[in-house]
Amino acid sequence: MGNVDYKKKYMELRSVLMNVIDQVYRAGYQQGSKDAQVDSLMQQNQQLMAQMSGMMGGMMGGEPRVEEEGGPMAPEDQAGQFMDSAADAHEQQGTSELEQGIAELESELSKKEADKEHTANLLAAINRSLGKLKEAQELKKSAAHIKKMREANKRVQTLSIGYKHNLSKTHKKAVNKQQEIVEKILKKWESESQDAATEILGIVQKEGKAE
Amino acid sequence: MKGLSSAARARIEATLGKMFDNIAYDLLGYIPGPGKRIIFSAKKPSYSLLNLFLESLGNRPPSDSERDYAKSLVQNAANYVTSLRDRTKASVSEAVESYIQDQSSKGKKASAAMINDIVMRELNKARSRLQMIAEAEGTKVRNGAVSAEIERVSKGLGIQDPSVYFVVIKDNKTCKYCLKNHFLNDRVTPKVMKLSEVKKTYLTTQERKDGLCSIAGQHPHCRCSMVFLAPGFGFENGVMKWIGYGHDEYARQKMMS
Repeated sequence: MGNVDYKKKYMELRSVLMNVIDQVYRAGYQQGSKDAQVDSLMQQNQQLMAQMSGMMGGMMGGEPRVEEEGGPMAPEDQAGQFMDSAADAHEQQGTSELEQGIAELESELSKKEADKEHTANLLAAINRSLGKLKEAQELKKSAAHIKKMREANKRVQTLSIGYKHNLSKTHKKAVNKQQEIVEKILKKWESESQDAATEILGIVQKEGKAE
Repeated sequence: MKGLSSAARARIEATLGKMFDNIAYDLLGYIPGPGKRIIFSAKKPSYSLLNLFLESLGNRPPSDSERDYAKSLVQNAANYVTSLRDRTKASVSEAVESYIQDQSSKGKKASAAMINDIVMRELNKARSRLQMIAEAEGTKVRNGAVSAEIERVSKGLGIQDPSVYFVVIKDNKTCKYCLKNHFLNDRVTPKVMKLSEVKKTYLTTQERKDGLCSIAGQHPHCRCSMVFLAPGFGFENGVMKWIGYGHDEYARQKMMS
């Protein structure tokens, strides 16, 4: 037990951690570029739709749907899913190895009095590494949340088809005007309420009831 | 227990009254009060509920009955604003007076900053109610004008009870009742109903749960728009399109359910 090279062990664990962080970073980068591609495709699609609706000359209906629900998964989505699961596996492995290392170190720490300070430093370093790994896991969780938000956004876009195609220009203008009315009223309220508050304070002060 | 004098209280209420008059003029196009009349004009203020009514009609001159209908809609909104004005007057003066009395019983003078905070807190409560009134009454006026237009068009087509549906304005906070009551179960095809089935007043919670629809929308902040569905038209993937002569989407949906 006395011949265990803690430094070497620490370096090994650190390299595992670096690998995992690298994997997660690359997975995130690829996801980002994939999102950019999807966004540009959607923009092209919208432009095409606008052109088509212009050609239809205001006719009602007939436009193709922008989104298809429940279709087969696109290859890049499959690749993304594979990347995610690979990153998951590495992360899990890294975490368990680190935790195992910490357990070993803790047992050593209780046995050997001479190297106590050295071992304690190593233990702190490994704990820091574990913290970083956990941070990486949190990042992955955030990425999953973003995915969910994207799915919700897709649903909104599907339901917005009715607004795009079934509502006439007059209706849309009226909806916008309604929003403008509310915004203008609230803006007016802000200035009017400030003035009223100042005036009320003046009335109270004139009565000699306030400082 | 020394509070405000009745004259000071009256001045506070007058200040709030003046503030509400300015707001009401912008929202309603007139200042509500005894003997005040709603003047039908497309001029100033250009962003009032009356203008919204005209905009929803497609800016065509309204008929006499449509003018009366618009006036009744605006009068309703005016009643809500007047009620909010009186409530705010009471709550602000009560809150200020109670604070002054409290401080006076402790032998202290009221702090100016605290009075300002109290007034702003009460006014902020009124602000959110005003927003609700402006949004809800706006929806009612907009869809009210649309229903008047639908009645006019369907009369011309010889349709006694026209079919209508609601277009749902989407954002990330679209409510479940808008989805449930304005769409079929697929959440894509709009639910078609007869104009006579659409209520002209606000829905109660029970009515909303029962699946009823109103020109005022499903809830106070609802922005869904009512649209006419002409005979022969139906939906394909949520988009209105020509199906064929004799097609009755209302009857089709009733048969399906």
